[in-house]
Amino acid sequence: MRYNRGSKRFLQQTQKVMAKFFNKTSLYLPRLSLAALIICLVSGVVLAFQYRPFGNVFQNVEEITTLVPYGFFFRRLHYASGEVFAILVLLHVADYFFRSAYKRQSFFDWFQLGLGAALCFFILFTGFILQGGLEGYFAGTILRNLLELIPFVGSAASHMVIGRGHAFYFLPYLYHCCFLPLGLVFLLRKHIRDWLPDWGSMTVATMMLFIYALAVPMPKALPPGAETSFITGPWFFLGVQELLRHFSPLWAGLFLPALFAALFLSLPALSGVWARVARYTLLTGAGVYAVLSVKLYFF
Amino acid sequence: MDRRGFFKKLRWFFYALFGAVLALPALSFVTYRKKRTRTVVFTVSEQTDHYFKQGVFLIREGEAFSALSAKCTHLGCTVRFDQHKKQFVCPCHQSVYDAVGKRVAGPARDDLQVLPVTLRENRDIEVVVEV
Amino acid sequence: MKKAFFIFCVVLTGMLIVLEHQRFRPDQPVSEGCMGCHAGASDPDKSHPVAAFGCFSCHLGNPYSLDKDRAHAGMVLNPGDLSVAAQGCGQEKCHPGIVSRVKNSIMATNKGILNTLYYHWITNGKEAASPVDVQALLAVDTRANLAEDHFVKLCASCHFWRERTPGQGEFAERGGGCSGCHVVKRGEKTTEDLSKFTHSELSTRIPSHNCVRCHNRSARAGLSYEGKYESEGYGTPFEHGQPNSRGLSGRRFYLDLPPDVHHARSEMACIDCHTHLELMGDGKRYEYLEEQRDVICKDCHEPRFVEVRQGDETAERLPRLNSVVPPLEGAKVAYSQKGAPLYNLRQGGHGAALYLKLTGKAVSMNISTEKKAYHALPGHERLSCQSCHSPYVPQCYGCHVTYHKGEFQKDKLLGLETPGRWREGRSYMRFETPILGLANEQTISPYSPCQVFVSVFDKDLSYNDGESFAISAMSPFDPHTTQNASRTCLDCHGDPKALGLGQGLLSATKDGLLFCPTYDSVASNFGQDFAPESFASVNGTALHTASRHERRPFNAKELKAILGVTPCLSCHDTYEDPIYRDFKKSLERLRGGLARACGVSFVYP
Repeated sequence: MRYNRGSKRFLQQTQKVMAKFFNKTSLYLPRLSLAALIICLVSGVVLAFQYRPFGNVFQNVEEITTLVPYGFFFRRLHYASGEVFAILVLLHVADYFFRSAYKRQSFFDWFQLGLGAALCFFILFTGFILQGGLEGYFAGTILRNLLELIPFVGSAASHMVIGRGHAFYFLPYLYHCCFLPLGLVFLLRKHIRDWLPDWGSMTVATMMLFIYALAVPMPKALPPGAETSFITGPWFFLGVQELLRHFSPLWAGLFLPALFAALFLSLPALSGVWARVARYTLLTGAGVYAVLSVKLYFF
Repeated sequence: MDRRGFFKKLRWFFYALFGAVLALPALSFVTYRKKRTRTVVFTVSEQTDHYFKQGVFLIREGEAFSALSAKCTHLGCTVRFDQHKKQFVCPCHQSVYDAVGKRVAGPARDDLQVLPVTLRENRDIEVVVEV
Repeated sequence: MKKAFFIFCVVLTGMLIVLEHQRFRPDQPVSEGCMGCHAGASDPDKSHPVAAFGCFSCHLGNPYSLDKDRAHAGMVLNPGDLSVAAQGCGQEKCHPGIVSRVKNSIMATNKGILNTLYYHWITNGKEAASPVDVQALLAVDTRANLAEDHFVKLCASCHFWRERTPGQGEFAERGGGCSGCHVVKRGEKTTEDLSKFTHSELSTRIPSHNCVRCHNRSARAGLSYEGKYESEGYGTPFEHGQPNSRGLSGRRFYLDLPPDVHHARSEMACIDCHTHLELMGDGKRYEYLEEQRDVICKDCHEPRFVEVRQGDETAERLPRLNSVVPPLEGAKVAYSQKGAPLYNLRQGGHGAALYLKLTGKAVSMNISTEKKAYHALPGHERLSCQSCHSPYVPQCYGCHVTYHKGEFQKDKLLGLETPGRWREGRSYMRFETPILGLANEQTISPYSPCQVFVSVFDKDLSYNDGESFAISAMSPFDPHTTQNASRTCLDCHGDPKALGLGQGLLSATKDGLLFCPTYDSVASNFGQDFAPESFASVNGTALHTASRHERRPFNAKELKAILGVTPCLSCHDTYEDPIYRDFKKSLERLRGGLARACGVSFVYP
């Protein structure tokens, strides 16, 4: 019937447009994210000249934000570009996950890329700690205590990641500026060459981030001695925070995230039923995590 | 140089100018230094002539007090006071200053910096140094 | 694209440079970020100079930031507010210890009011029965019963936990924790220039105005002390045809009566008597006001001057903090019964003097150790000073209270309107001679009525008989209307109202006492068969309740003893009269015919 044929063609055309859009998105997402990464690295280098990860770190950060000339700009730029980089990486990974890209890659390659994606978020997390406010201080403390829960190697692991006493911020600083970015670049070495940003992506990313840094103020921070009845960590760990409110730290903080990561990284090695189980488990897990995050933030 | 060459050089000149403008905020940020001061307190028992504490020499003439910075004006080493010759001598390049900090010999050009002195109610003396 | 990229960069950098130069930076380096804008603020007081303290040490916030919004994050406008006082005024290096005392004190917990409500409305006679205090009520948003609902809607504007709100007027100025008393002048912006504003003034010399803000209701102690009589709302005499300007909060007006002698003659303020132990609490949680109350008349009028106790630095510190009262310099100081030094009352080389805490002016005190006859009469041992020296007490009769379940009213603790609306209207208010009764077995005190007729109306406006009730109660307190001259003998011995019987005619017949009240409550359909001011009947049965078990009117035996003196008073009208040295014996002599002939024809049994 003509009605059916017409609607069938409409459906086909919509699908074509959407496919084109998604293909375009797939092309530019990673380029934009790498552009953001470059901006983050450059602004980070500039900030490193004034940032000191010892003594009164909160005072140091506040002075960068309000006293040092152009400090507000570089701080906002570094913060925004870092967040944009991580969000775009997440979208890029989701994009290729939905397309079952893991089926076409070797386990080794997928493993490196997945680990690299995880590293992105730990770079952001160490950056969150380094802000020196109450949120960052508690986030670091929680990480230290979670690491101590690891059987056998817990104490050693926590000593390697967060310092004690006055050296609290120094180790996260080394991770944030040196170890993790180097690790990231190493793990993604081939990938970076493939997705190096073109001038168009660079312009768009720079322009958007620059305008953001001129217009949007940094979120206000609580001084480390302040009293508050409710505090949240970084947005990407809100789900874990919500889990930690209800379940034991070992399960909510270590085991479940590790399980999720293990499942994600092992995707290329699975086949048949197991692959489908893993895929749907991961999707459900991500969905639940999103719901928990929203619940904690808004309710 | 022909016209094309001139314009090429001009273009690069403008690139450099624009680059400088772009770099201005970054340079401003990177080179900023917060002015900080340190207060050195001399208690009554420390108020002897040419007493050294935390980079400051307290000079006493009877009941009049003054203070000198112990930083050599040449390249910044800490000078020491020679009790016998009544002179400040810098160990690095042997600049010499007299007992009240006036430059006498050596590669230094300026006198030792005089610092403001405040007398407190409890008879402490406070000297403020720029860090 | 490359060109576009560079052009964009340059343009945006230009904007950045402009923005940077618009940002505020102080000219000189500052000790804390706050001082970048607020260095010109005036000092709260001599002990709290802005130049030394900065702003952060009290007001918290972010002291490192030069940006207004970031600096003000987490800032506390009133560091004395009890919810933050422990980090503000009461922090470790400042005034630790005081904040916990204040939180336990009765002006913060309002336990006395709640206990009395529970006593009369809920538990029907159980003392100290309230399970909640102000802090507990602040933590929940439901009210368990009518007593709590009544409290939060009609009483809960006056307590230390109340947040001070901006705005003018008495209601706005109440509360504020430490600031509620210690802020003597509110700060204000003098110009638009933020660096020059007048900070609120702090002081330990608290003017009576700060107290009367709350203490002008209920017992009206603050009003009576200053000689103000709350009139019936007419606002007369009119000024230019309008109600006059002698107004109180809540659309009330006042007329003049003789003020308390301490105010009129010596210009004493509230804090000249009331000690820090009773005002800020001594740390213990008391159930009732009288347990927390410290100073009594005897503390000043029969003072025990002692050398400043070893290790009592409070006695030396308090005059120094006050700064207008002269330092002790070895003088002996009187102490209150709870051990608070009355540092403004001292005995030096030239006799005893009282120094006014607000001005430092000396008031001479005539303290003689010789016991005068009028203060030493046998039989008068239980009389409190107030019983004779308070010529009148504010008395509020017949409070008709309605409660409409269908209407809304603001819960003063929650700050929200909740279901249930109370309205109060009194039958009449008098400043009349007091009713006397026993506050406890050792003390006779003036009493004042608190009669509440509560009518509850359901949502459909029908009268809810089951939940409505009436309480006729009497309560003793110091009316703060002290006069130098005491009342005369007949004012009590010949006045049935003073004895608690009520206004009317009292006769002694051979069958006993007969009292005819002026107000015939039965004929007036009052709903009870006694007059509103009758505390007890002639045979001593209490007609009104009181809110403690130990409180009661004179019983029959006491009435008999008091009235036994009355016939003698017309001739034997001085304290020094020998018949009063042992009155029982004198009566026996009279009965036995041993006494000289006396015009009295009979003495009732």
